Amino acid sequence: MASYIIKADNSTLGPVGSVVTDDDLLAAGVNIDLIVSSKIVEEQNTTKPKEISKES
Amino acid sequence: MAIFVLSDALVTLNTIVLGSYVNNITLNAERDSVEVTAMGGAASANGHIFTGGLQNNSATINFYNDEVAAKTVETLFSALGSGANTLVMKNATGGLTFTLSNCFLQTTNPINGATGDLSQQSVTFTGGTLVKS
Repeated sequence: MASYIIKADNSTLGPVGSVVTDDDLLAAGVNIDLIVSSKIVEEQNTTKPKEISKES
Repeated sequence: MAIFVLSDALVTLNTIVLGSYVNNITLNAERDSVEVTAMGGAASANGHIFTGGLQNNSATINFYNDEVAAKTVETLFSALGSGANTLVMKNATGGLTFTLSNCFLQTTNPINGATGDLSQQSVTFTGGTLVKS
């Protein structure tokens, strides 16, 4: 499940900096792609950093 | 709820609260009229018969322009050309909620007016599905 951090200071989703999920956005009835591209929310990067193997 | 003077309409566009920038709003809830008049029917002897077709909604809102992030100009410009906008409107706090989902914004006027005017723009959202709750 993706999570998003709120960037807009007057969104009904919550205060700036709080985190919402896909389910929250769907419950709000909004188009996720649109509010991400509008910079109302920003998707949080949840991918793990790539491990660097040590060379001997 | 008693009759009321409109003074506190609430408007959010794609979750951004913009009511304090609105001075005029009209929500037009409409259905297409589809003719179903048939030959020989008793009802059609007196005139056309219609049934409700697709929703054909629109909302026209006059906004004061503000170029700060997540205010009117930026929010409307982001909504421009999209058919996935979500517009939530109320006559007043605690009143009925009218949600227009997947509505389209064809035009925005981020620069508009004459010398000495207050910068403002009237935009119209069209289409979408209207739900009252």
